Amino acid sequence: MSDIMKIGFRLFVITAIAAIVMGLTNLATEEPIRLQRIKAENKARQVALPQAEEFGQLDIEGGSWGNEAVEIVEIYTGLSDDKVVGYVFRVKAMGYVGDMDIILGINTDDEIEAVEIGEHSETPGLGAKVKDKAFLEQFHGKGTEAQLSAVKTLNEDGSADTSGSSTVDAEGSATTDTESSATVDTEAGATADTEAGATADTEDSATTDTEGSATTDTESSATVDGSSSATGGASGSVQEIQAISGATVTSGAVTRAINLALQYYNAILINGGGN
Amino acid sequence: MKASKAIINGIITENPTFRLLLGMCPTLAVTTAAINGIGMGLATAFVLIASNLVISLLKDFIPSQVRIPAYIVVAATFVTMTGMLMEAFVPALYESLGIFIPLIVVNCIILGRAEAFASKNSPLVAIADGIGMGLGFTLALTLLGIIREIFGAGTLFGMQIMPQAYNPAVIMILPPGAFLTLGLLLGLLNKLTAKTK
Repeated sequence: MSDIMKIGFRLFVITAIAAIVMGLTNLATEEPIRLQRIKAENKARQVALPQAEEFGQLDIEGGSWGNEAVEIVEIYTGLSDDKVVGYVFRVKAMGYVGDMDIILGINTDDEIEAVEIGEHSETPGLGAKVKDKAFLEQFHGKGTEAQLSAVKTLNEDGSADTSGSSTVDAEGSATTDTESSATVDTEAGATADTEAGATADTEDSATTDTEGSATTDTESSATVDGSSSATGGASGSVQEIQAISGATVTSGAVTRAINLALQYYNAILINGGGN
Repeated sequence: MKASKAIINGIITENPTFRLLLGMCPTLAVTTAAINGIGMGLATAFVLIASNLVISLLKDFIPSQVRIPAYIVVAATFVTMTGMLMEAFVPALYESLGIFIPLIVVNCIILGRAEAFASKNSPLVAIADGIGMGLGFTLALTLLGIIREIFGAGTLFGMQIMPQAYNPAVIMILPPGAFLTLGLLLGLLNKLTAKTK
C-alpha cells in the first residue's frame, strides 16, 4: 500500500511540475499568439482590400447566408479615413478535401479587388494551387454584377488573348465539339454568335473542323451562358475564370464562394454606403 | 559513453530515420518541402534534448513501475511548450506543420531514447544523445524534403531551381512520393554501407 502511495505521489509531483511549467509558458505566449492571430486575419483582409486601413465587422443580413457547402462567415467594411472604401467577405466553402476559407475584397467601383485563400486542406500540388497568384489574380477587376464560372481552357494562348470571353473546354459544354478551341477567339468570332440559337450551327461545323483551323468556335459561350460579352459588365452574363488544371472541384468551390459573396453584395451592400 | 561519441552515434551510426527507422509517421507526412523537414526536425530535436535531460536527471526519482507515463508527461510538457512558442513566434512554420507538432509526443524517437538511453546515462551524455539523435533526424528529414521539393514542386526552400519547362511530378509531394523517396534512400544507404563492411 505504502508503495502505491509513494509511486502515486511521485507521479503527482511530476505532473504538477509539468502543469506549472506549461501554465507559465502559456502566460508568456498567450498575448503574442493572440496578436499573431489578429495580425494574420488583418493581413488577409488587407491583401483582399489594400486600400482599407481599418476594418469593421458587419452583421450578416438574416443571420446567415448560404448553405452547407458554401456560407458567408464574416463581412467587414473596409475603412480609410473613416470613409468606406469597400467590403471584405470571408466565405467558407467545401473544397475537394475539406472546408476552405476564402477572403474576398470588393471595392466601391463594384469590382473585385482581390481574392485570398485562408485556411484550407486541399491536396498539395493540385488543389493547394488555389493559393497561386496566377489563379487568384484572374479575379482582380471582375465586375460584381455578373456571376463567375470556373472553366478548363484548352488553349492557354486563347485564354490570354480573350478578355473575359470564352475559350471553353469540352467538358464545360457538354454538347459542343472538342479540340477546336485551339483556335483563338477573336472578337469577330464572339460577335458572330451571341445567340444561343447559333449553337446548332457551330456545333455542326465544328465537328468537321480540324484542329487549328481558322474558324472560331464560340460554342460554349452560347451554351453555357447565353452570351458573354467581352466587357463582362452585362447583368446576367457569366465571367469565366480558368480553373486550375487537375483541381476543378477546388476551383469551382472558390468561384461558388465568390459568387455567393457577389450575390450578397448585389442584394444588400451595393447601394449602401460607399457612394 | 562519451558525449562526442553519442553525438556522432545519433547522426550517423544509429541515425533514427535511416538506421533505427523510428518516427516514420512525421518523416513521411511533413517532408513535402525542405523547410518543413528542418522545422519538424528542429522542433523534435528541442523536445528530445529537453526530455532526455529531464529524464536523466529524474532517473532515480521516477519509480520504474510508472516510468512510461512519467516519460510521456515530460515529453508532452515540452511538446506543448514548443507548440505555444512556435505559434507565437514562427506562425507560418507552425501552420505548415499543423497537427504534427502535437504528435511529436508520440514520436517513438522521444520515448525510445528516454527508455533506452536517457534513463540509464548521466545528464551530460543524455543531452549529447538528444543533440545527436535530433540532428540526425533533422538531417534525414531535410534530405527527404529537399528531394521531394525539387522533383515535386521544382523549387528548393521556395525558390525556383528547376527550369520553367520542368513539369513538377506532383506525386513526389503526395504521400506515395514519401514512400518512394524514403525507400530508395534506404536502399541506397544500405548498398553504400554494405560495401564498406
